[in-house]
Amino acid sequence: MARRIVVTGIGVVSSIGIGKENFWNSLINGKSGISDVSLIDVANFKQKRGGEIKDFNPVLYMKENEAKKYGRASQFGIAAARLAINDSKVMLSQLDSDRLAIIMGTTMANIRELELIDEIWTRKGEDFLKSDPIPKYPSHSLAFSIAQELKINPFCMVIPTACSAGNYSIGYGYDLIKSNQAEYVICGGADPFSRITFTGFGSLFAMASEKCQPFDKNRKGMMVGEGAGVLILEELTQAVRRKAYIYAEILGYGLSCDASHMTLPSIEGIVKVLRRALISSGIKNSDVDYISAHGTGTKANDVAESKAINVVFDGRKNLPVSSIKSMLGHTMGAASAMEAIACVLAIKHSIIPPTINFETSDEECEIDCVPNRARQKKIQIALNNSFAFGGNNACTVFSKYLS
Amino acid sequence: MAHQKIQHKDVRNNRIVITGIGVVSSIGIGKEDFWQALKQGKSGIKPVTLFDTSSMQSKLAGEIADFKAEEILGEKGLRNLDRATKLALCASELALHDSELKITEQNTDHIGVVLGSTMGSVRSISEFDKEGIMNGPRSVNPALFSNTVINSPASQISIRLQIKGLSATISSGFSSALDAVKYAIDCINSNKSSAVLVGGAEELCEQTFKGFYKLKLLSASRKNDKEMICPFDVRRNGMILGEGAAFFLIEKLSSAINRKAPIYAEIIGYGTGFDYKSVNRYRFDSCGPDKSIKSAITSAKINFSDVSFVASSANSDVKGDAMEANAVKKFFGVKKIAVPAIKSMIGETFSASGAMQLAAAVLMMKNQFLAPTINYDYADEQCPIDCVPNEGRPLKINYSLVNAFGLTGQHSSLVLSGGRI
Amino acid sequence: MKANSETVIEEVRQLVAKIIETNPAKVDLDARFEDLGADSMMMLEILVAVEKKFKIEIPESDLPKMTSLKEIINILNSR
Repeated sequence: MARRIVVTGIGVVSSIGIGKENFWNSLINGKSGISDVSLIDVANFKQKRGGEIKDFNPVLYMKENEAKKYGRASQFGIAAARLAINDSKVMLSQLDSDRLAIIMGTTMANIRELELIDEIWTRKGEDFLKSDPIPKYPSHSLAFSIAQELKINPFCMVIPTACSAGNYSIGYGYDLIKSNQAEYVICGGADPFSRITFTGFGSLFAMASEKCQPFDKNRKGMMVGEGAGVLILEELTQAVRRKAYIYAEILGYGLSCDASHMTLPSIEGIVKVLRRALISSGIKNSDVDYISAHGTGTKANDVAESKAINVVFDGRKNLPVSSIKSMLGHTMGAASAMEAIACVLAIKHSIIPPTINFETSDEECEIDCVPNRARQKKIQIALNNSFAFGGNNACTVFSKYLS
Repeated sequence: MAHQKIQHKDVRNNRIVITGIGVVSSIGIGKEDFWQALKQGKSGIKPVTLFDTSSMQSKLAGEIADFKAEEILGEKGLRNLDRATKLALCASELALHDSELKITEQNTDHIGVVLGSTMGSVRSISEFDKEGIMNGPRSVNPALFSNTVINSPASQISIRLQIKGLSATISSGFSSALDAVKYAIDCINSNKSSAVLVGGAEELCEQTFKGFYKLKLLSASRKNDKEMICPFDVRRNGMILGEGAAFFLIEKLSSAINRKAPIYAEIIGYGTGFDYKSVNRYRFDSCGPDKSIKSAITSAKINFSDVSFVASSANSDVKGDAMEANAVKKFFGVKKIAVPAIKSMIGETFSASGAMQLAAAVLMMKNQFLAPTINYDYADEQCPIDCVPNEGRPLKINYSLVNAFGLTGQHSSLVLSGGRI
Repeated sequence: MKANSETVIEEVRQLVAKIIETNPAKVDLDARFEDLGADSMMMLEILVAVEKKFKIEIPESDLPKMTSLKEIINILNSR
């Protein structure tokens, strides 16, 4: 009897709300999390805005002396993990650590520690470098710090596959439960606001100044954001036995590799990942009710994604495809985890979050992007797209749970 | 509409074998040179030339002297690639060539690449950042931005070799490379891939060296100790860093047999043990190594007494080596099993270390010969093990255990079978 | 800026040839970079490299115009 994997808890730290209620309310009301950047000095930058989280207080989720041990990404991850675990109503101490895993995705992980080191190194000299920030930085710390804070000994892993990392982590969590290697997986992604990311996308002329406008004809690019999304995955019979609330089921996922360009998307690679996701889930393209787009708002991504969707879904007109990056900006490694949470809540509430800031349609992006207003729709099956630098594509498939 | 029934997914375990090896190391480029050097106990440790060490007491590393990636990769397309990426590209190219597998339009969708790497190229990340800080954000080279993502080396491999199945990077500190192998095996068992190029890569750079130095992990970083790498020796006073990359082609046994591939060894077990109390420090009695060894042997379905040697991750750290010796002693007894530590020759290659040890273990099994732990002159009663001191020796080997323990918190192990497959 | 001087043209030629990884002799005034094997990332690199070398700022809107050595010289002349 094949094992089934369900979502029993969610936790999210975002620029439009911390916690699932605040996050969801903001999503369906089309609230933007874009504001003037304060976490880095933008005096020399052309762009000044991004999706920063202004009201994150780490001591709400961990003791103050503990919070000091962790970088911002880890603090986000710990907060989102705690929210998700509490939401799942599981006592971690009652779980067998041999059957427990923490899989987190990221782009830069605790990069702010390295950025601080770089500032001191360039402005003062290496003699002023302290050792404190050093162990906080390496990327594995994102998952390991969650285990350290929760005082548990699960299987831990960080998958730093950039913009698709959240989906990779959710997918691997799914694989571990499916193959009977785990019962309970804490998975998702986190990334802090990063000067390197802000500089890098600016240097590619791929960043908008004012707002993020996925699929809009006049879109100027992506915007940098930050945050964390964590989902609790469990094996179904265990979840049912303990009377857990089941948000949705994960039917499967697909991975693909463009093997063409480090920063430009490939229609062929996107088509492949969508098809693999459908095959892995045992569903037909006509079964899909909603797609949470990668939808970064760049010229290149949005047209490639639209074209690929139309290839795979035969140009279906009644397939809504919205991008919550219009509200959050691109939260990097957290993005596809936060988008997974949006899918799960969309299924629960039968409401599709909108693509905001949509003003003019682009004939190259022939999709229904659910412009500006959330839409009521019963969703049986939702797809969650993510395409990363280097051509790492991942697509996860969520469905309403039917007992 | 009615929800479709989930198709039964066939996730039975496949037998997984290693059919290609590629190594780039400070003691040899390519598996043959690497093996000859290991066998002879050759040291790759030398004064660092890649950056200035004058402000530090530690000055040695297992640097790959005169590394010329173009000799393996050709001249074109390397201009903007960093050292970590070039190491990974070279090792993966060598491994693929060694496996005799040709990547084609027909099979590429079933081939994957997985890299164990925690730092990516921290040098690329830091230098990009520093350029922007010093000269303003418009002065950065946009072509170098993609080098700042940790999955860049793996992606570059997929572009160069035209691998379209999947590409992933795994970060778990010292155990990254072995955990990458685990992830790759799971890709095969979940039918995402039929073959995966998997390995680890780590470049030597100022950022990593100074980081380890500031944390007082390097030999001679604490006081005026003699700078040396001597695993298990009582004089040890810290690790010496190294660099390198090792890649493997792993695939289902059935597919290897079908294409008449050379089979080096079978991966018959994997184990792991996380210890939250050992995050950022070595603990002598950490539960992590114990759990890693025990779960690896259990999953391999063999007895502890079947294991011929343990490819140890001992790196000359005072506590770290004792921690591993203690764990080995618990399961294998005192001096009952050979425990060679190749980091004595190549240094601590961090995320790549598990892959370097895996390569060494496979070559030891193939040649039925143990490589030594060099620089071993004075026994330590805290490490009562047979580390194959200074000179290699022949041994009949059926099964081996490869450990990747460290001070990042997660400890992992693989079990290999080299017998009749 | 007297961008027509032979020195300036040669400097830009060498810069472009290095980035496209081609023989400078192939970079004629009219030769299209795309035909010489340049992709979009190389075009961005060329823009930033020209900015740094001549200490000017080139707006994003000029990027699509930079199709050949001649076009870059025109842009430099207009500063």
